[in-house]
Formats: sequence, structure tokens, C-alpha cells
Amino acid sequence: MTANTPDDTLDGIRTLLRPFNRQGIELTSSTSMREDLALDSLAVMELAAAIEDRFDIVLPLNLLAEIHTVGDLATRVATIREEEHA
Amino acid sequence: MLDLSGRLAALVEGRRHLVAEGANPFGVCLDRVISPTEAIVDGRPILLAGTNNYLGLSFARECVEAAREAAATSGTGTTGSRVANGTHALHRRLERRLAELFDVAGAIVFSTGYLANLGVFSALLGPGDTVLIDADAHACIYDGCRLSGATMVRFRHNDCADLDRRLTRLSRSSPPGLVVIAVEGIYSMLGDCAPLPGIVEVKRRHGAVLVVDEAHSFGVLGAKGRGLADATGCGDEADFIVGTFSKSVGTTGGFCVSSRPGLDLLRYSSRPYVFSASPAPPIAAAALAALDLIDEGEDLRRRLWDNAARLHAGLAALGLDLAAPPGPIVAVRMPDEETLAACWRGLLERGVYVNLALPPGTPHGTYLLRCSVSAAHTPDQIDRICRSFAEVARG
Repeated sequence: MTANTPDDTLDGIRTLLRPFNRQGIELTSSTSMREDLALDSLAVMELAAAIEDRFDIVLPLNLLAEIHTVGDLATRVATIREEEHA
Repeated sequence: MLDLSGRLAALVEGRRHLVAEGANPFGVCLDRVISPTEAIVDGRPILLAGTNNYLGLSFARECVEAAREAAATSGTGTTGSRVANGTHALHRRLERRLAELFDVAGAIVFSTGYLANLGVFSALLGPGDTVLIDADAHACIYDGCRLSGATMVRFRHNDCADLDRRLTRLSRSSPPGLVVIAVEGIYSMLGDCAPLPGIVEVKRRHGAVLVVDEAHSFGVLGAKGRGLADATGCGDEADFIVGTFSKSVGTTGGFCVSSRPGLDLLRYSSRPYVFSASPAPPIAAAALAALDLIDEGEDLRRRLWDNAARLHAGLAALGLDLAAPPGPIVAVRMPDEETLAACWRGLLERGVYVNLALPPGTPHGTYLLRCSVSAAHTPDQIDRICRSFAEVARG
């Protein structure tokens, strides 16, 4: 049974974000994915696929439009993990 | 609040490198088109190697005559939607001919290929439904799904195991609605084909609905040119086949064919169908004439595939990095944007037009010189394309 807390999810997401963090900025929960990390729509979709595989969840593309910060993403992913693996 | 110039500045910046050096890859104007493979650009003859005119039918005598006749007898436009004054006998004939060609129960014609996918996905799906889209699928599939309000899940390009994994995850939360898989026959950028038998196997196991977009494969693959589904023996498993008239058919418009009950209901629920004027009579007549040529198009297809093999072999011999096995789309990978732009301009200077394609329009951030082959190319023309590539590749 893997741990499943928002913090644990945030750590996992930070690891997955590393290849997209070209400027090597510090990744906190308030980091904006579009403004700070400058992820374009394609990069966001690639990231979503990586998150799906890492956490074994379905992360629909529709949700990505509502997600702005790394923290938003971690919260959302943690919720989906709870729902799907309940 | 952002003002308009602020919004535009971001777009200008994104294309700065490409536009700075004169020839703008997105601003090429064909002053005169001479044939499916030749045009005049800036007063110079240009060999066209990036037009998706796979069978060269845009100048077929039968199609030009049918268009001329339709314009003379029925006018230049329908000025109305199919559900109002825009259904002519010609549109019905075109739909019957498509259904006959694909050996299915019904067909619906749309005004463009983009509208066909927008119309099919937005009407077939709704909130509560889920669609799994191949990562490399065309923008119009994504846009149609977005318009539908369905849950959109992307799967790794041409990866049946990945599709299966995502469907399995999805089944844990027992989605209440329809589950649809969207793939393409030939993918427009790299020119590779979907592994359709594998996709069908996954589709059957999960009880999903399969939509295949044959935009680049209709007229090109299969004994009758029906596309990849027919060529791979998966015709009955492709629940809906979408296609376009703007590639092998040589005109403009789009279609959906299916034997599934309810296809006709799209006519009432598909907003892109209901709220667009129907194809103009000359366009519909040209498409109808082209379908006959595609149906009997063995020779055209043989010439297309001979040319495709010749171009692929010629470019491979130069040591260029080709994205897919031989096919009507031959995409050459370039290392970066500067090399891409320089080679694209070098080809145009040597009188050869190909498509320049770059992220986010391309998968995996690749930079592509994308050639498309036509049955109308002569072997000499194909060799000229290869020689021009050899010169620009040498730098």
C-alpha cells in the first residue's frame, strides 16, 4: 500500500516536473505551470500522461484548464487517487 | 487587463525567427496553380511537394467539368444549411455514392474536413461520456471532443497497450456514458499508420466505440481506396469513419460514413452541420466525380505508391532522418528551428515547396520538412525533389 497524502503526491509531481523545468526554478506548491514554468499546451499534455502512469490514475485533459499551480495539480491528483483507489 | 497589442505581441514573438529572414513559411502565396504539382510563386515556377493532393484529382478533367457544369446549372453556392434550403439532390447523391463506396448504410457530408470531425465528435459525445484520443490526433478531433463536453483522455501515440491500460483504469471508476476511441488512418505529420487490428482488439475487450479519421488514407490505402480500416480488414469494427474531400478527393468538404443506427441523428444534433452552409454545388459535383475515379483508381494508387517509394528511398539515401516507412507523407526530421527554416527556404529557392512543421503542431517537439507525394508527380519531379534536398542538406 503506497502512502497517499497531498505532500506525498506533491513530491511525486515535483519529480515528474523536473524535465519540464528548463530554467531550474524552485518548485513550490505556488509555482504557476504556465507563467513560471512556461509549459505550453503540448507540454501540459505530456506531463498529464506522465502523472497518469506514475500514480496509476486517469487525469482527463479537461481538468488541466482549471489547474494553475503545482499545488492545485497535487491536490487534484491526490483527490483522484483517493477516488480511484478507494 | 491585457490589451490587444499585448496579446498579439506574444504571437509575433513566437514566430519571430521564422518570419525575420524574408520568406514566411506561413505566408506563401501561389500566384497561379498550373497543375496538381506545379505553381508560380513570386514569378517563378515551383514544384509542389506538400499539398496533400495525393491522387492529383484537383485538375482531373472529369472533376473540373462536373464543377463547371454544376456552377452553370445550380449556381456557385447553396446559401443555406442542410437543414434549411441547403440540401440539393446533388448532396443526397454524393452521400449515397459514399455509402456505396464504403459498403455501409449511410453517409453524411460536411462542409470541410475540420467540420466533419467537429460535427461527429461534438454530436456523438456529451458530458458523462469519455473519449480516448491518440496523442498525435489532429486538432479537429481534440476541438470536436472539447465542444462535446466529454471527458478527454489522451493515450500514447499508436500504443495499444497504453490505450488498454487507460481503459482499464477508467473502468475502475465505471464511467456512466459512452466510451469512444479516436484514431487516424495515416497521421498527418509523421505519416505513420495506426496499428488498427491491435486497437480493434482493445476496443472489443472494453466495449468501446471506434472512430477512425481516414483524412490522409482515404483514396490512398486499400483495394478501393477506402482507407486503413478496409485495408487492414477492420472495416466492420470502425463504427464511424470520418474523411475529407480536401486531400485525395482534390476539392473541399468532409464526410462521415457508418452502418450504426443513429448516424442520421447527427443531422439534427451536430451544430457544425446544422449551422454551416452546405458544400457549394461545384464542390459537391467535383467530389462526386472524384469518388468514381477513386473507386476505379488502381492505376492512380499504384503511381502514388511508386512515387512515395522513390522519394522515400531517395531521401533515405541522403542519410536524412525520415519519420515513417514509405507512404504518401514523407516527413524529414530536422535538428532545430534554424536548420528547419534554412532548409525550407533553400528548397523554395531551388523551386521546391514542402511544408514546414514545428511544435506545437508536431509531436514530441520535432521539427519537420513534410513532403507529400502525388500520383501526378512524374519520376523526374521526384528526382528533382531529392536533388534539391541533397543540395540544401549539404548546406
